[in-house]
Amino acid sequence: MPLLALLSVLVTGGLAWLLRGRGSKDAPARIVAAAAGRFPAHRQDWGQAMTADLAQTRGRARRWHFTAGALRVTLALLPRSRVLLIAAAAATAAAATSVPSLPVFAAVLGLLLAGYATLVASRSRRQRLALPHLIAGAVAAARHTPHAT
Amino acid sequence: VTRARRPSAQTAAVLQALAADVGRWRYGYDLCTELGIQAGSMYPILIRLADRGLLETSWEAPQVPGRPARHLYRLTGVGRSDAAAAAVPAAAARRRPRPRLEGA
Repeated sequence: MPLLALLSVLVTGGLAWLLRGRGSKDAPARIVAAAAGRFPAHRQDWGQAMTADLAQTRGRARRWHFTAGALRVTLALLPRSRVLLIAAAAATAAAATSVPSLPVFAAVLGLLLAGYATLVASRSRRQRLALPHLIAGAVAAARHTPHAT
Repeated sequence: VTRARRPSAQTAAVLQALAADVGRWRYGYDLCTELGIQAGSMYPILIRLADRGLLETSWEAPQVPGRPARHLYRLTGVGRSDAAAAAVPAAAARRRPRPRLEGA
């Protein structure tokens, strides 16, 4: 849960930066409307409920606070794979904006990608099971491959 | 055999707030401000309570044109029983005398 809270703050900041100065609605309204649109079909009414409650919320700080909470709810309702994808995108975007030179960015990106790959491999039980099978299959295929004459 | 889980402190607080005036429809944001619970925690609690049949939901007719309709919440009959059950251990814990330290 603390991870979700941190991620929601990061995503809120990123979306605020991306959506700045667009349209007649303020950034919290646009972010919550976009988040509500990402809710699973059977939870759409809850997204509308949060959108309506935000419309009644006064004060900039309160609206931003509510928006971070709404994003946290959205992240909690999304499938875990999609949350990981969003986290990866947020981390990459943060690296892209904060690292000045191209070689350093390339190194950071490489580290991030290696981290994502490790995370995905460690979380996927199927991959761990598939690796020995893959090696056994490759050995078997090599044995039975007819030699070219 | 399934055992009923005790609600979290926040869930119990939401149940108590809704039970305080059983017939009254409440807004989610008003519950957030009244109980000091953030939206990121409040809506998952409301979703869980509604999924378990403890909470009845409804849509309010828009008061101002152009504003979206608001979601309203109140306890069902089962929710009232659960709120009462959740209140009993808390009240009993408040009444129970604190053990005195020997030799103090």
